[in-house]
Amino acid sequence: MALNILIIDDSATTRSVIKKTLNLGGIPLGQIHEAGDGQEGLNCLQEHWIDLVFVDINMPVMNGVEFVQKKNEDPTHKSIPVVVVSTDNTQARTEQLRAYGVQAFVRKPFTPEELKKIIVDVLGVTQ
Amino acid sequence: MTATHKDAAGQALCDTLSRLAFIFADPQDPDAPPTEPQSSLKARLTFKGSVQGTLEMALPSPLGTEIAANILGCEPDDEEAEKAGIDSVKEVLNVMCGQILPQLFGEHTLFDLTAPEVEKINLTDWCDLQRDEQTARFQIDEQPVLVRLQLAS
Repeated sequence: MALNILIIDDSATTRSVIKKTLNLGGIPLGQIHEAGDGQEGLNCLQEHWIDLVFVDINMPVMNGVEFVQKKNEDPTHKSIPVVVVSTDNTQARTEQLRAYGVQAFVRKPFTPEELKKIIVDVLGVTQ
Repeated sequence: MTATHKDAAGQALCDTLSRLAFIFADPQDPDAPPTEPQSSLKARLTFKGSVQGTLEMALPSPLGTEIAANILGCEPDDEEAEKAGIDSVKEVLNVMCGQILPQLFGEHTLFDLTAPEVEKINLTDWCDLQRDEQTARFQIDEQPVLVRLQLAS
């Protein structure tokens, strides 16, 4: 199954690095969508079928925590797995986000191997 | 700001650039003459939690493009790197802050960070930042980088 992935990060550079990593990772990919903040991410969920979301925390307009909360309010989107890719990986933040159902965390800067492992762990896909 | 805070900011710069961009920064010789780059950028973000403060980083504009190129795995004169220079500087500051805050204030405090902002600064602003005692001075291939962490009293 090809995975449709949404990357939400206000840094175009980080989005580009995640995309390159995914493309090189041997993961079966469908479409990769990008959003610059949480609100754009929610809009993308309305318009496209998404299998996995990568989201940053600190973003303008709508941050990653608000995005996860809003996503969960919609029954059709609540079950979409979310991986937080952020500089903030403190225990306080991870506990807060796990309570909202976030499955996994990747701390910036990440290695391609870390990102690939997270996808395999969260979705159970094989390379 | 104590020496520990200044050290934490400097260490975060070195760690972030080496892991994110494979670029290595060295502390500038305290006796070295002040630097005066032709064209400079300053990135700034604020944080708010158990304490409030700001983190700033200033560097010559071409170094931003060089950082972007290393992050993206392309050449500094590629269009992709030139477009991503400012964005990459913001991301470096963001990652630095993510290292500094738990190191200084622990794993159990939530901080809200503003999105980093980048502006061009003139030579006067550069020199003001450079001579501030709270500023840590580094160099990357003879190009200066300044970092300042300030906590609100």
